[in-house]
Amino acid sequence: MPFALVRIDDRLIHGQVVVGWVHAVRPDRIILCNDDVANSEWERDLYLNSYTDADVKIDVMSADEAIAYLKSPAFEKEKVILLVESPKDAWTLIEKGAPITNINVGGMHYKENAKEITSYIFVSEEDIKYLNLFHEKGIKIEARDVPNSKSYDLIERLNKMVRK
Amino acid sequence: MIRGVMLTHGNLGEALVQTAERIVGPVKNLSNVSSTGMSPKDLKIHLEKLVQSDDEINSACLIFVGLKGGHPWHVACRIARHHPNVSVISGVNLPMFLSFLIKRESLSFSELIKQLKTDAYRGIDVFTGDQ
Repeated sequence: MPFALVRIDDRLIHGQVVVGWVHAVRPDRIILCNDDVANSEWERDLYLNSYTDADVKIDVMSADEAIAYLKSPAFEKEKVILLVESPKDAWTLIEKGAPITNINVGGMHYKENAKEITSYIFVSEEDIKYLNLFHEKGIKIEARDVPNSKSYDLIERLNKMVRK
Repeated sequence: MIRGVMLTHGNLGEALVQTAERIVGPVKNLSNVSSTGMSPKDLKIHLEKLVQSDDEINSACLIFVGLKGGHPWHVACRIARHHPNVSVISGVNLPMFLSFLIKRESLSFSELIKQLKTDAYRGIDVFTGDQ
């Protein structure tokens, strides 16, 4: 089954995801794909303890574990929300063969030397490099924090900003 | 005195504090932090600074957050992990916060936390009119 949602969000699992997106998308499973979280038992437990009022499985996986899951028969039967921290992490999965066609960007917060695109998206030179790589691959990239807010074409926004 | 940190999205915390002040008067020893627009990293640095002063005077500190599993909750738990005098309570509501303000000087930290859980539930009830 194609992903229900692939989301870049530096907060990973949080309210907008476990309440907002879960009720809009009704996934069977949320996969938090992040090597640092996967390698720390404490961090993993923290995310797995997140509140949700819906019947959804939450998994924490390293990039390699996520790829193994995506190639398994289980993935074909399940509706999945995939969460990654950064464009770089999404690119790692794409290079390893993850079938990603659409990316939602919901949180890339302020950091030094990053440019503001919306109140919740700030991009560094490195981020721009990866966003353009997605675009070249034909992957659609939208900026949208919650399901019922307006969706923006992130590449269009980026181009407008660069031209300014 | 047990200190409090109100850590919520948007203006929720500010509104709770203002509402509480109308009931019990001016509130001391409380920091109000909004997580809106802050990255996990920046929020952690900010909170770390706030609880440092508690460490120095060996005072207990309770962090109030709205949603267990929300971004403020994750960051607060990471702070509490390394500060034995800091705890995090989620599901903050007005009865819970009022109870904190009224009882924090008369109870120990662990007693207070237990009491807040009870009082937060106690305020939840349903009234339905005649059908």
